[in-house]
Amino acid sequence: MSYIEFKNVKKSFEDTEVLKGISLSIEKGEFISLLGPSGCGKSTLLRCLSGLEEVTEGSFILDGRDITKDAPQKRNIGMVFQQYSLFPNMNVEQNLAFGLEIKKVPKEQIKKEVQSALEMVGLLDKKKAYPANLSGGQQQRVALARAIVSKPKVLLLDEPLSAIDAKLRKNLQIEIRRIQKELNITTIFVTHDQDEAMLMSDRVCLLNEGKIEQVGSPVEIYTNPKTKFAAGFIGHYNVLDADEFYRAFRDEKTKKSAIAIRPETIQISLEKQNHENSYEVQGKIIESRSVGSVLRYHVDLNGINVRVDTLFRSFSLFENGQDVWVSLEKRNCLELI
Amino acid sequence: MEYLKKNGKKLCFFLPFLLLVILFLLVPFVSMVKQSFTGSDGGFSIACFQEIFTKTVYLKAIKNSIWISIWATVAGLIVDFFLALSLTKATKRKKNWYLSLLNLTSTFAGLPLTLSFITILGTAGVFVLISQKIGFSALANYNLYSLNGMFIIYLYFQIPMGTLLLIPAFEEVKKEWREAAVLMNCSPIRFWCKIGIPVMMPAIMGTTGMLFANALTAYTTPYLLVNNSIALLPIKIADMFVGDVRQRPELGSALSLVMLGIIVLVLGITNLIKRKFEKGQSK
Amino acid sequence: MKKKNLIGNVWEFIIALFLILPLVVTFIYSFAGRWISILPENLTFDFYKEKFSDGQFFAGILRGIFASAVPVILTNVFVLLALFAVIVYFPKVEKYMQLCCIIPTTINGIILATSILSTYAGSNTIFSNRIIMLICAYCIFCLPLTYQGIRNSLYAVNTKRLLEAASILGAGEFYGFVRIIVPAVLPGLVNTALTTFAGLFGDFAIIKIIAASQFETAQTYLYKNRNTDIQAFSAGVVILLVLTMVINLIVHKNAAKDSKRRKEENV
Repeated sequence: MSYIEFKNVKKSFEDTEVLKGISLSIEKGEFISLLGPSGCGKSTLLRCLSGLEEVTEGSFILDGRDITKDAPQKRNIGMVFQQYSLFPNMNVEQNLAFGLEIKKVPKEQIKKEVQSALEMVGLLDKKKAYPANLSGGQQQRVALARAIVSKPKVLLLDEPLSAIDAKLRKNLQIEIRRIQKELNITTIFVTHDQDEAMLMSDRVCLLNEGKIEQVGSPVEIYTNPKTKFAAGFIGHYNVLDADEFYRAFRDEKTKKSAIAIRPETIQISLEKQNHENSYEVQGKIIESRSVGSVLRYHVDLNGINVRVDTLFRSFSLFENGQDVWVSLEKRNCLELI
Repeated sequence: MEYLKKNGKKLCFFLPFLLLVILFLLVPFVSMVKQSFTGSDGGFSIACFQEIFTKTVYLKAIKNSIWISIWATVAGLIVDFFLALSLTKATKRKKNWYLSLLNLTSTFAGLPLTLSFITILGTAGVFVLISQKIGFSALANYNLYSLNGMFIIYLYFQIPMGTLLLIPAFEEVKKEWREAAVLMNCSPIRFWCKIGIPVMMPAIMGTTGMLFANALTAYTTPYLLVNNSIALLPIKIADMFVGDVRQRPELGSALSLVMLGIIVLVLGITNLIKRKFEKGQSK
Repeated sequence: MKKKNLIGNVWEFIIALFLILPLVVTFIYSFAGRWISILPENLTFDFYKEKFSDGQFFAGILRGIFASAVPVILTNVFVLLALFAVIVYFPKVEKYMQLCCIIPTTINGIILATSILSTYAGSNTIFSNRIIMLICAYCIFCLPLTYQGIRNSLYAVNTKRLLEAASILGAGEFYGFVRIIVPAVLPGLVNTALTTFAGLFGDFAIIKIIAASQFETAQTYLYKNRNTDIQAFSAGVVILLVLTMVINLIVHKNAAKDSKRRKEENV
């Protein structure tokens, strides 16, 4: 049996159903991300697990025990919020000690635990500082330390880095992952940033409109999206429905509803290549743009606009308006539900 | 001089404002202070203050004024605190409705308010008459024209003012703190004692000062209800200048200074407490 | 997590009842023919007819409006001029100006009134005129709120930058102030002005001390007639109340609209 289980979890606010039956198993020590656009229900799911929101239907199992009806404080969960969650009238040390004091942990031990948690997030020297005097990044580190200091069974992170600027965010992502591995603590991380989810997680759970679209390792999700939404949300897939695909590549209509093609799997050349098991069609370059080390073309294939990424090599530059041959291996066409 | 010539025109913009402040704030204040230290012979003397702090009538006025102000402040704070607390949990529509009510009643003060209460609870007030008819003795003998009876009006004008001041302070207490505390198994009472109230303390102290000053200087209500039958500072002060009996502006000025002293003392104390809680919260 | 906020609801209800009751009773009373039992015996408009045909009461209201509007306008103009100079020429003076404007919150009501009265009453200057004295006392009385309102508005529109832009286009600072800044902040000022106006209009303490016998407003009129027929009297109170509440509602609506607009601009 898994460490955490979500069993057909449903949640409605007044008339709108935010979670439409979520079932998910999480192993002990796993780092899993709940990824999705804003309003997809990922934060709500997290808050339901923590007990801050009540579920309408379904249940949660944590470590073999049904916690659905438990009060939040009985669930032994640590949580880091988006921002502003530190108590402003207490300094860093007092913030960390607060939860332990409620648990009636002896003073000496509190001191030790606080010390080691602060050491872990690298903020020992800020022990006496007040939240208002810390930067946004430091505040979130303290919040993380406060969440792990009482050794919870699960650590919940609700978009903890969304209010932090890009450069610092990278560091914190790596650091959170390091701490998670060190403590081997089961962690659920909510984010709307697919790069962040890919970088940090063991597994990603992609949510849309209150339903799970796909669950899998980052590589799986990236290379093999199962649904139209997954293909559109992750990476820069060309997503063509059956009609469009037929017009662009002159192939028979597929049974599936849509097809996803990664831009870097398409090749452009001046002459026909005659590859095996490939589609080869003629098209016209509409636009080209350099994106870092990649050159991105928009090619018109019989009225359908397709993105193609090529590496920046001076001998294969094409001009706008040029007629080209486009080839695509059949196995790189992913059929979507 | 050179500076004046250069900036003379620019300084003219201050002229009306300066004249107003000097003539109607500074000069009257200074003359009040001077007057309060003037003896019967016209020279410097602290006779007025001696009289205030030895004669029972003035001591009684000071005592009564402080007494009713403290109670009006404490009772007002308690009512306002819990009202604001429950309003922060209310639905948006209800909250807006209540805010309108508070705004509306915040102008309901002074003469109209006191007269309204006379119609309800005065000697021939509606509620008193009704109570006499149905034999409800608690209200049948209500005496509005006493310190205790008047208290209800003091409480009334403290409610809209204090609640409107406290609601923004409650909004400062972030939802995340409460949730983080809940996850740590912190009871609501412990949360408010350890986090909520300390965070709100600056606002609470500011409100306390306002409510106290408001109650202490209230003139219209006691003037209409008890006038001279019960000694109160504002009435005594006004009487020294425009009373029907013997007018003694020197003594009135001294009493004004005493009242001012009480206000400044209370504001000082609340400010001190405020400072203490503001540590670490400065931006 | 979802506890019914029962105690809170009961509390809200009791307080609301307490706040509304005096208003409602006064309102009913003003229509009641005779009310000595549980319910009033009959309803009538007579007292309103009486009030509206009472020239003295009407004149009192008009005087009240005059005595409240003039100080509000004067104070607004004075503070605007001074703050203009502070922002543009003498930024360092600001804290002294602020101090001056905050003092009246402590020296309020009757201390202010009695000190002004005793200073100027027998002075044989122009200030010994009770009406002028009253207006000037009112000016001081509404100084804190007016200063706060104007200061916030002027900083919200970034006066200094705007005037610099105007002067590059060739407009003098004062001209720019009058033509650009004042129109820009006016809507906000109207709100503070109305609030202070309502405050002054409802004042009884200051006017009673300074000018009760010389200048009769609606408030002092009611005071004088407080021992006459209690219903007629309630009608007067209701008329005054309705007046202040209308002003108050306008301010409340305006402020709500204002904050809504600002939110939309930020989005």
